[in-house]
Amino acid sequence: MENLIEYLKSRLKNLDDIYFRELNIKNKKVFIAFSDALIDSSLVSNFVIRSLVDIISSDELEDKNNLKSKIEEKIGINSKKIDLENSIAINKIKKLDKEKDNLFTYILSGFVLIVLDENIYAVETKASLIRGISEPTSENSVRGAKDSFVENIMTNIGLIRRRIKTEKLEYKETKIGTKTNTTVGIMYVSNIAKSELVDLVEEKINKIVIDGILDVNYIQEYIEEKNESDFPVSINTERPDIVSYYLLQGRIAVLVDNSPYVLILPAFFEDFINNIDDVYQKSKNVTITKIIRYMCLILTVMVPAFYLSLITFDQESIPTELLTSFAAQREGVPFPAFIEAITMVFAFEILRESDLRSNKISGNTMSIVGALILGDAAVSAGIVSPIMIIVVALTTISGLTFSDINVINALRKWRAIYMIFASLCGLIGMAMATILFVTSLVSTNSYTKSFTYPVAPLNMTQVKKSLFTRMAIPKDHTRQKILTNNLTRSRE
Amino acid sequence: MRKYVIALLVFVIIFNGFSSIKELTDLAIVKAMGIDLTEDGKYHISAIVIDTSDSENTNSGIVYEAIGDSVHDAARNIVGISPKKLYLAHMETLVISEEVAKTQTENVLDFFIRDNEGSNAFYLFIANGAKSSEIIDIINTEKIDMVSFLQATEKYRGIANLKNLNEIIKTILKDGDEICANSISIKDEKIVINDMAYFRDWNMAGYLTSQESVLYNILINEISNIILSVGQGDNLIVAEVMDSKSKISIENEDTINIEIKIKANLSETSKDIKITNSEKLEEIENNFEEKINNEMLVFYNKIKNEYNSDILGFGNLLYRKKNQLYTQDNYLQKLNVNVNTQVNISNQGGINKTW
Amino acid sequence: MVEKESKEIYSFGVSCIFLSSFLAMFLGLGSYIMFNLSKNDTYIAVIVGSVISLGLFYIFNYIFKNNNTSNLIELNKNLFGKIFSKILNGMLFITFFIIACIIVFNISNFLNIEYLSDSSINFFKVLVLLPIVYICSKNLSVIIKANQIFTIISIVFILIDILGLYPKFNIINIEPIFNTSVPDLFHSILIYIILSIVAFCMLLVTSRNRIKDKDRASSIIFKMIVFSNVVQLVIIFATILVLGEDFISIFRFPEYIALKQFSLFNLLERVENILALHFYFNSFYLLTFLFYYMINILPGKRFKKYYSIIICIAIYIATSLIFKEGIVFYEIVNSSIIYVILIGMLLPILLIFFKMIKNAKKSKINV
Repeated sequence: MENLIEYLKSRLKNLDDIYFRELNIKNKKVFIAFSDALIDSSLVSNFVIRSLVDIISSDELEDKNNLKSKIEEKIGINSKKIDLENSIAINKIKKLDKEKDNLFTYILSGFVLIVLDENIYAVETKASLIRGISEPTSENSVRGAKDSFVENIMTNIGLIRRRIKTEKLEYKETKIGTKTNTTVGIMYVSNIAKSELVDLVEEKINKIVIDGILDVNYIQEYIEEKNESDFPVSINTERPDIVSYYLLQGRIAVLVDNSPYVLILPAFFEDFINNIDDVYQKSKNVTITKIIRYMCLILTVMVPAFYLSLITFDQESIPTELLTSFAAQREGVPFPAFIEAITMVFAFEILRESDLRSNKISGNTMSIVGALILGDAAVSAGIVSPIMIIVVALTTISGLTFSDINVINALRKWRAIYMIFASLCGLIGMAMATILFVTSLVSTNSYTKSFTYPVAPLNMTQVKKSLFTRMAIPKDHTRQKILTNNLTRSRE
Repeated sequence: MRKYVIALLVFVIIFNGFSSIKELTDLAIVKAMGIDLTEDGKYHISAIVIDTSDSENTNSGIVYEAIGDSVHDAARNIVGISPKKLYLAHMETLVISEEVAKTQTENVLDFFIRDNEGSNAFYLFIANGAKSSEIIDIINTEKIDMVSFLQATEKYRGIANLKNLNEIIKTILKDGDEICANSISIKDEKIVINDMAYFRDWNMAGYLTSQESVLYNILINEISNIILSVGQGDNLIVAEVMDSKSKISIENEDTINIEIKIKANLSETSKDIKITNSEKLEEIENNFEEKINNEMLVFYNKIKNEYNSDILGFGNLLYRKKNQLYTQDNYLQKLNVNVNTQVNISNQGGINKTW
Repeated sequence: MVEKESKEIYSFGVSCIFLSSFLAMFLGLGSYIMFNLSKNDTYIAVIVGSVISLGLFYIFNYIFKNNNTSNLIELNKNLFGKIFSKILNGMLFITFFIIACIIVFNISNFLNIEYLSDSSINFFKVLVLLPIVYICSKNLSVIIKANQIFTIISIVFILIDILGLYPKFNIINIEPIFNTSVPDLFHSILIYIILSIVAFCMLLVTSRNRIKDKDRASSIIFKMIVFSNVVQLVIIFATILVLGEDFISIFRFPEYIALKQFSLFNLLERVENILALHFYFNSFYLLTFLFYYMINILPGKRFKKYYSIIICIAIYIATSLIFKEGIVFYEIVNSSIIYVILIGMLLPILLIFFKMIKNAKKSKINV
């Protein structure tokens, strides 16, 4: 036992937040090691140490009159065997083996190491280092529940299990990262999700060898390795009701400790445009909302390019009064139309980026200053024409309809490509850029399924259910064939 | 591999696509154009170019004039005066002088058929008794919006019609159909839309009278709210036409049927007219019908004998219905016409004239 | 490793190949030839031609159904001996090459005249050819899926066109009915049938086994063939009703000129340059499928990824040498296209058809 203690102390020499304590209770030596940063100190002092004292002291009553025990008491040893696992009243206790288990992982995960009678026990006394459950910060929920995930994986699993209360919701976890030992788990409903997909994801996660996992994006990049397109093929979300909705469809959720975002796969292109809040509203009103969103997608990518090609190549499509007004505005501007467009788009991107970075104190003032600069001042100074500001403002506003940052970045790249093509060849350039865009979308694989699922391999039932209209919930009897083999919603 | 392809693509585009860029500030947007013939057979073009520094006013601008051997040549010579090239896609009016219309129409209009920027949706006018450059000058100084002017004339006076150049060329190319074009003249330094001019094939041959222009427009269904009047002095009755439809069909080998249906409202009656019962109303309707029938027959005789130009399209009708009469040379002389008019007076303006 | 579901081909995608190839052959090329022959009776030629071409469908359906594993090229190798199949494949290759040259020149001419008239035509040829090199390197299922999306866009655009041109229809323009002579009408019908053979050939680009729902494939393809003929009839009707007899024979692209009169609710006018882009998309995908065939006919495996560039350069040089200008192009095509397609495409198809019937009878006798 002394060897063990010396071993522990020597290895943990430079970690000053680790405390060692030796107790001698009724001639029984107990040795405790824990990390002060990670434990709940009231739990250790009031509970662990007190229970140890009680357990070791309480056994004395039985053998008071035994001769052996009296002799031992005189000498100063205590040979009673205490089976701590069955007597201590704590929720998590594990007996460790010095050769096989990594003792340091347990100390550094918030466990208290108790060395007693040549046995090493690890008792969980983790402090609660997380914030409470609050509203989601990066997604807005109009009608749905307003709780969001936190950084503790067990709390997140709890939030999901509150909604899906069946034993078929399975959870498998592993620890990944040689220095971080982060818990990574996948959840799925076993009689809905396809088992090939689960095996595929498990295989990919188990192959990961890396120093540390800090965020769910690390896992996302590993399992999306072959994806060359700009769009992401998994959904990142902060809301447990979205995760439950997708789990019931047959998708798989990947959870990572210390990250409040959960990954859902596979994802299709229409999932980035449609919103779960559609399910919480009346199904007939949702049609117009969806049409507006698709138009926003087209507007945000094509409007600056369309304006450029009309102004420089095909002026006959513009009505005459508008044309004279444009010509009058462009008289005072020294740059060609393409430079103007790129400058304005770039300025709006700077505005958006600074908005993301600035803290709450200086946030409001800076955005007002930015709007002033881009609005009146640039126009009066003669750098840009007023119509360009309207065009770029329309583009940026339509781009904000999408909530996933990867999608916004991908659309930004395609907007630039469209603008370059349109300024060189006009409408033909836009047609070529459309061919490249559609080909890039269609050739994306989302975990062996096509990314543009209801449209490209055309599936009319799914198109009627979710592309432009939403089928009313009482009439929606079957699940999607591409995600599950268990098609009908039955009673079990 | 893919990257090289895309890079090559962009490279090729950069070196070749720039030649077609037309910056907005390089365009001279033409609003109206006039073509004249000079003494030595060259074309004299005057064009109104919209002044973009004054953007509230899109009806007038600067007038440029130039002379050249052909229409395109003259249009290019304008670049000697103005810094921008003419852009004809938004043109609204084309005025050609009488000499051009009488001899050179085919040469002039070929330029407009072949040009690809415009869609030939503008209106053609003949300069009646004046030079087209003078008319263009007055349009510019008075800031006249020719399209609304023409629309109002077509609707309320009936001596002009709204056929744009596309339809005029279609009619010229048809066998057995001749066009009538609107004409403008200057009166007291103001623009007046005057009687229509009739053509024979590509060349102008003369003018109709005002009354005949109205009848012509009734017959080709291009008329809306004109007024008809019958009687004179104290027997004058005036009615406003609400709706008029005319149908031309072949009756037999050499007779053509014209049926006209007019719905009108009574708008003004004179002292001696009192409409008290339905028979009186029918009598007035019959008066209108007789008058129109007679005028139509007189008009047709004049077309046959004096004008000798098939402006009502009878020849084309015969060709479409495969009537063999069309293949003969003087088919116009051999045709007879029956006119049948129906006038329906629907209301009298809500009063019962009992005084 | 589980087979990727994203590499599957569905029957709706295959049927969209037909529609886009059909529209690409007709707009601008076939319709111009037919309008010059039978001016405003072209709709009669279309109706009669489409009824006859349904008979062609029977031949293609037989070939499609009774072999399960190969597309047109492999079928030649399977059915005939080595030398004969190489001759047949060579004939097919030359025919596809000639049709690709015709389509490249046609679309470049269209873009040059109507969109950017100041650039030279060589620029457009490069512009049309280079994206094909990029897309030919992708899997067949990607090409078919993208083609499906663009076909749906084409149909939407055509519907909008009809809606906007409807007020300009003038029923008088149809008359005189049946004014063309009967030989000219027959010539017109023959052109229609010949040009639709090309679209039928493109259907055989994939073998029946690769299609996931192969039982419905034949019925969907049949419905799409009927739909394509109806669409073509509607387009030709609309052009005749708007333009009329005399205007049709003047212009090189009469559908585009008819589209210049588009006016939807008096609001959107002169938008023909956006609406006519579906011609570009359809031609582009017809060229892609022709390239796919040509790359698969050429032997050799080592340099397969360079074949597309070599064919592009060959097409560019061929069009610059042979088709110098629009009128030369029209004369050459008008006089020779019937023979080219008859000998180059219909003959191999008929040979395959008869050989398959003979093989089927032989196996029945043996059993």
